[in-house]
Amino acid sequence: MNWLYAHLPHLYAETWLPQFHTGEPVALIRDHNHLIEDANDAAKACGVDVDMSLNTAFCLCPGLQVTPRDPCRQQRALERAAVIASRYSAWLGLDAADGLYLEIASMKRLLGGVAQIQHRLQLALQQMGYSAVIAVAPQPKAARLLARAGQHRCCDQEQLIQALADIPFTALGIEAKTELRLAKLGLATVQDLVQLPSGDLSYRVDAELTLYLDQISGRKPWLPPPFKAAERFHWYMDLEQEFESLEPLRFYLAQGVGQFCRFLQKRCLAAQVLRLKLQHRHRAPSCVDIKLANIDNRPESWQYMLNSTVNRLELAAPITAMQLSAALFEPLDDRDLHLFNNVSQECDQKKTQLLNRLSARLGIHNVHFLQISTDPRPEFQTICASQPAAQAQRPAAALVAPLWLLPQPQPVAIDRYIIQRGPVRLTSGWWDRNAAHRDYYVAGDSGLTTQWLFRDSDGTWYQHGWFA
Amino acid sequence: MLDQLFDRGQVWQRHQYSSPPAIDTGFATLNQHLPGAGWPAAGVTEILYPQHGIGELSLLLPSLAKLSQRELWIIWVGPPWRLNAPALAAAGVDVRRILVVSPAQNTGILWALEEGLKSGAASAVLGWPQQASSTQVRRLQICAAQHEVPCFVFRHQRPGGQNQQTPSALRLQLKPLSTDRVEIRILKQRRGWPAAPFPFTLQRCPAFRYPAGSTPSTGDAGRAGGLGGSGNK
Repeated sequence: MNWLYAHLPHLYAETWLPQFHTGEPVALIRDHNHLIEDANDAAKACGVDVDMSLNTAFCLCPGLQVTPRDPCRQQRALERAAVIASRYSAWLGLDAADGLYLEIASMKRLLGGVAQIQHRLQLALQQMGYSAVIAVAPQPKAARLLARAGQHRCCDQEQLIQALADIPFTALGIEAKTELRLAKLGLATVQDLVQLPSGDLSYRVDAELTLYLDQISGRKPWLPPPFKAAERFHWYMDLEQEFESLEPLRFYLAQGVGQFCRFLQKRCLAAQVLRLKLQHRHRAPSCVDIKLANIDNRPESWQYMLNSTVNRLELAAPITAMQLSAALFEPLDDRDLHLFNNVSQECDQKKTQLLNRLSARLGIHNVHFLQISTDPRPEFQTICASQPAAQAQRPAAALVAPLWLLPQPQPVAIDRYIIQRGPVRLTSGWWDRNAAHRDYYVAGDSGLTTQWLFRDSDGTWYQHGWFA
Repeated sequence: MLDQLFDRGQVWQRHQYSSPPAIDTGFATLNQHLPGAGWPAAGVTEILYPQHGIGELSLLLPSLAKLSQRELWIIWVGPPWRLNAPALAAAGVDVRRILVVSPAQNTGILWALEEGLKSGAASAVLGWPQQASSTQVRRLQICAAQHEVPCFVFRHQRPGGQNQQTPSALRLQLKPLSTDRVEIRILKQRRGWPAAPFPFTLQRCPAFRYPAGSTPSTGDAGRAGGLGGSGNK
């Protein structure tokens, strides 16, 4: 008796539709084909049933309230239920849209037996408004089969085989063709199938079905992938009065950031971005990201970045509440655990620190690295990136270009110049709107400077750079 | 008389001092004229230039190419124009080591220069302040000397004003003579006198890649590539 499976048949409706357990008829429909997916007792009493088309349902029950299912919310509902269940087991697996696997062999002694666990979980889910069918079996898939067949029971290996006798093999959800074949063989229940030699079944009927049966009976192992609840940091502070400046609130923000750092340290995590959200009375809330150059969980880095961000920030309107939140975390590198950092790590730390300081005061967009793109047009060859390129880059085949480029080519009067070298023709960019047909020249002017000029296809001359 | 002074150890002989650490400029002619045969490795080098496009940057390229082989960054603070990465790469500079910082104000530029020098993450710091008073240059000089980082400050020079005192370790003035020659005047050097200006061949643009002549005709853009920058040979 290792695994427990909780099937929550009305999970979505119970989570998101508060009227589900009242007397009004409510139904949930699938988004893609408008068939009824779930209906409450009041609706079922009118004859509405699962897989019925929406029109039919409305004919039967004109007052039916219909809600389409949102897969994203479905996942969130399941994760909520998983968080409740995680009290009873460390190994939790999510199944499809409405089921949970729990490993309970290791928890039996602590929680006082399997029946106790089953009972307590049932109660906990009930308190949260979920109705659940819970089954326990030696194999996860067996528990799932029992629970999904509506069998609220707890069995060991022998009892399992007996219990399978009550379940028709249609509950396995196999293809209609295979089902027909099995029916022709005179088989009716899952027990009949499990007792057949699996080699023969695999050869004569279906290999996939055989594997599934083997996993149910325990002849082949299968374990659900463990689920980890997503961590979120959230800190909120309501202000008693409106503040026009963040200056008096610095202290509270620093407390929030301190909490954030403790939150991270406790979980051995680090983060790069913390979002500061400021609520205004008559405006949409404004958001500012407090962003470090690299992941970190030390209070001094975060406090420094907070101060610099607050210094640069101009409030659009007086604020009524503040909120700090973060949802993206990364595990802390193990390098921080070394007592003696080697030189390159120390250097990396210094680099990170410098980047933090520069971007805090000057703004992240004013600090960048260079990368080289493969575009032949000089103005698109240099990319300003937030990280240096991973590998050394060499321009594939390029014009001999100057070190300085003007932000925009400037029209010039060619009679001031003496052409020294040229031309080199560039015809490129036909694939977008910035097509270039240019003849590039190296030219000098009366001040003995060397410039990079080009002549456009319509004969206009431009300066594009300086050979500095 | 001189012997007596020598005996008493009262004569300072220039070569007794170990020459200050220096970075090879990559140009033999220039090395000869500079104290320690190269750019000051722990100090500010001021480069005065009358206008853009006379080779003020090409002067540094060989040493930057060498510095970029180190793990540290070369920090460019407040460059006046967009930096063209392929041209740098063609001159042998590893562009991964380049960090460009563009502060909006002059104070920001000076601050970022100082931060870069202090950080310990830079192999060289280059700056283009619009203005820098003597005090501000002194601050940079002290930071650079303490943290042993070369700092190059480019100063667009208005007519006059090159004779004001400077705390920097080296101050050069460039003057274009022709399209591939500049005159370099050392206005200040540590442990040395201002020297007479000397002409210096500096190839600003790898012109040999371009066909000579000025008649507009078709050229082949795809072939060019590879070497850029400068050479004094």
